[in-house]
Amino acid sequence: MHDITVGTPILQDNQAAALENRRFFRERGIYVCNVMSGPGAGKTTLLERTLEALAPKYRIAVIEGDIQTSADADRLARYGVPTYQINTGGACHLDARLVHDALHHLDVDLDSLDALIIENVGNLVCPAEFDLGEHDKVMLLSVTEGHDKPQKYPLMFHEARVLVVNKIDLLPYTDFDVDKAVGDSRDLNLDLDVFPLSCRTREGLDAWYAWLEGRIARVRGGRTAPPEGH
Amino acid sequence: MHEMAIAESLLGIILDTAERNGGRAVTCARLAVGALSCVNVECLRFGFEALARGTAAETCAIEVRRVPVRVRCAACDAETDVPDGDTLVLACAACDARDVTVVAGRELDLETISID
Repeated sequence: MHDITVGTPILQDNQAAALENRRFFRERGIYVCNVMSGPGAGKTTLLERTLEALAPKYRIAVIEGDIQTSADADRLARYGVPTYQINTGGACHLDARLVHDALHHLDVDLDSLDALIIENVGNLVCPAEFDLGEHDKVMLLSVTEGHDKPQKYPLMFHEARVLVVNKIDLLPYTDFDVDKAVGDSRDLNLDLDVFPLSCRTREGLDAWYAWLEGRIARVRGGRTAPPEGH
Repeated sequence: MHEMAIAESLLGIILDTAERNGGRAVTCARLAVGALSCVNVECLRFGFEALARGTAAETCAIEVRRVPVRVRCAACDAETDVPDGDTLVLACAACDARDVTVVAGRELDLETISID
């Protein structure tokens, strides 16, 4: 019997696929965000509001991830953007290969895209482990879920670039402590940008749109010529 | 449960490594799992055992070395471990500054395997 040194990340295949996705997006100047949350926090509604505001100005596509149904993709297709639904059939997260394959199903000229929004499967644990090749992970936490979630699910909040605190219109009816949720999140992630908002009343949405537009513009500025024969 | 996806990847790397090194059976796989990583080791073992049946890794034991979160401080340049506790606060243990970079604790690596 002998020992062999391997020294490899177990998720090396996903990392390689994510790197390939990242290169693809960078070459074309496509800004990509990976929107994550627990089930029911309001990801799809946030995307509806976002598409309402930004789809008239930018060429956006959406990839939806759910275990089952096309319900979310159907909701978003009403905004006139190319949308593709991934049904994972049991897997509780998206991975880079699924996203890569979905790109080829989108009915759009990928070279013309300004942004791709990926809505991950509703789950506070697994999506954080799987790089999709995105620029930013956007973490959505609604006030009805409790302010203890950052401490209970540290990896998601550590990995995120942005924290959207949703359903702030319901604050009077909950014990949610915004300062604690934000403070605990910043204990895991000092540079986190935070957007408290309500998709229902539209309070706070403008700041989120402005941030997103800034990211799209920045990434578009870094576009290199796409390779021939894509 | 994403541990099945991880177990599948792990098995693939183990079998590939064993084959390239002429191993007939894999008896042990040693992992490094960071404290920040979202992996339940028991679920991973369970999934791995199920997937490994009938392969060269079916008697492979999974050993896990847990790696604490370690941060480098932008303020004082120290590298310190973040203490294990009920809650995780990424701060420099030397000066308590929060402007830190994680340098360890995010691993999910296969370090070594033992083959016959």
